[in-house]
Amino acid sequence: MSQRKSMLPGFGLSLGITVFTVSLLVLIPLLALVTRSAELSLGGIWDTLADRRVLAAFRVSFSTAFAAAFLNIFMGLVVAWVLVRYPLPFKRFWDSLIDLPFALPTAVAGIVLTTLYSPNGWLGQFFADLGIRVAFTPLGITIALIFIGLPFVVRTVEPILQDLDRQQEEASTSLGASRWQTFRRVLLPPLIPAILTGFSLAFARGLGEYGSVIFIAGNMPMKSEIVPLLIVTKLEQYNYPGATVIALASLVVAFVMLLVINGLQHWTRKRTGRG
Amino acid sequence: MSIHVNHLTKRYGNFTALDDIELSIDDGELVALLGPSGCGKTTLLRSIAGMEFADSGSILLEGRDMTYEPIRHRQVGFVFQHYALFNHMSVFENVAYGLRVRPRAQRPAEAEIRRRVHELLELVQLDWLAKRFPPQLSGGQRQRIALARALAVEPRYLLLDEPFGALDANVRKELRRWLRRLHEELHVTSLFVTHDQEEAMEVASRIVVMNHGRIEQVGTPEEIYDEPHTPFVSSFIGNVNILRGAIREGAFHTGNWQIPLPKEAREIHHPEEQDAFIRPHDIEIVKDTAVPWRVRIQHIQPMGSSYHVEAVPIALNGDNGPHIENDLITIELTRQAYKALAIDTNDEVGIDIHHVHWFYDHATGTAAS
Repeated sequence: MSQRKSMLPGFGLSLGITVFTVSLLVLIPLLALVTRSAELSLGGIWDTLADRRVLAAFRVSFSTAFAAAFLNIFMGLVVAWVLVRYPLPFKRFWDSLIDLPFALPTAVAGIVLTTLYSPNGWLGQFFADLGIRVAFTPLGITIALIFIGLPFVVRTVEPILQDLDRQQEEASTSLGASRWQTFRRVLLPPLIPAILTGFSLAFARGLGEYGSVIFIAGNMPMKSEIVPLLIVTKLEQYNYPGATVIALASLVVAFVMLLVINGLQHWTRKRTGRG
Repeated sequence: MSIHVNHLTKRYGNFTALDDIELSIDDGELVALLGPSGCGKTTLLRSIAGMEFADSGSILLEGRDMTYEPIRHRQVGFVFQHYALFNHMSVFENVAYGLRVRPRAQRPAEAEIRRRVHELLELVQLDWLAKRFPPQLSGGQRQRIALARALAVEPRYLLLDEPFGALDANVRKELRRWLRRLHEELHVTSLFVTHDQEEAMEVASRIVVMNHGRIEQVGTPEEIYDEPHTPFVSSFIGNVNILRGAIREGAFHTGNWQIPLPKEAREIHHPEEQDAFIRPHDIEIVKDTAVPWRVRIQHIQPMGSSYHVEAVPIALNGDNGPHIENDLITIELTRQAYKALAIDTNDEVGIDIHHVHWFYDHATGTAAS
């Protein structure tokens, strides 16, 4: 076998570090999760997962995370657009504000949102007048997850938006396209891979989010109980195998969904000649 | 389809990009806007396209005032220096774009779009690339696709912003010739921006020379080269030796050199300052020692078809030689002339000046000796 020298040195070393870190931080904990779950028999796993309360929690977690990530696509796109395209006053200030949900302790966010959206809170009272309950419902969970997930979409879309060639827009209008046609046919397609990345990051974060949700969720079993809370509940009852089974199931579902999104991304890239 | 630009002025803060521009372009012309960077040529082109809007003045397209009409109503085809192709669309879809975005009532049927796109791709000789994507093409191919895309909407005007500026020399040469042929075939009124005088001379039937937001001269390539109206035009188009001096007693004095003035200019008296503009090929090297203007050859540069000789002028008596920019006279010799002369560096030879451009402060035209 011939040895080929790479332009970049240190391939062996960097691969070693990568494998070591990924193993230590991701693979080994996951393996522990799997082995711990294996303590239960298949029947036991089935009984744990088929529980109506568990299924309901899965439904709540996945639907709210999906809805929040989906809405964040639009909000994130608009925010990124405004930040990139318009000469805002105090632009750096607004720009740093976007990252705040990353930095804020999630419990603080949860408490603030709960206070605002509770039926007698500043914002909640208006919704209450309209007969809409926000806090302690899946709607409240979705709002918390939108707050948490927004920076993911903004920060992934922003650099792509910055790199877009303004002359392509001019070319589009010179060929007779309207503003909307230019947006849909020229601007949006190159953004789609970034939007999908932002979506999957926000979605994944939403699935795992705990701190900001448990306050506003109200945690009513069957209605507004999320999977992470259910896991914590099981742990508090010393039901470790039950907790790990739920965690593993949650992981598997999330992993499959992320895999699908990645595939979609690959497909859009390929379809547009960048594969 | 004619273009008329009337008193067009545009400022960016303190910078005047366009200063009272007046320009008429007739139907079917191929015109070059030529000038150094920052002279306003691109701003003028973009104003005609409707991508920029002037502060005052007007633009008439076919006699209709279109000054503030947005680009999509002007029926112009625009070609960008960096192509601006849609990278996520195939070559075919790029060219079809202008047809697909039409309102439903005016949109051709799919079969018709197909036919038109392939026709255009054949016109630019790139039909075989229809399924590729722009990032997979070479620069020259991309620019031809960009041109096909602009032509797809059947524009009345074709505006090209430094269309060959990003391409390497060989491709540029080929595309220039190709653009000229294309224009002969289509006869669409075309205006292109360039900072390359050779490109302007080679492609355009008329050249508009611009500097500092003003038009210096408009004319055919010959007129611009042979009868420049201003010192700027003279030095921007082709090479020129500029001798600094003054006019006294019917002759031009630079140092202790004297160049006789043409008859019609004998009355002119400019004792303070007057420059003489001499093209390198209007100077002849003579070995006759009786010739009063003498130079020492410093460097001989073979340019292929010709030779450029750089020479240092020698003062007649004493140290007061002619005042020349860079202190060097450039002389261009044909191959034959060079071979016949058999000169070498450090030779001392005489020069004969055949033609001088004068620009008198108060005169409108040129008076040439």
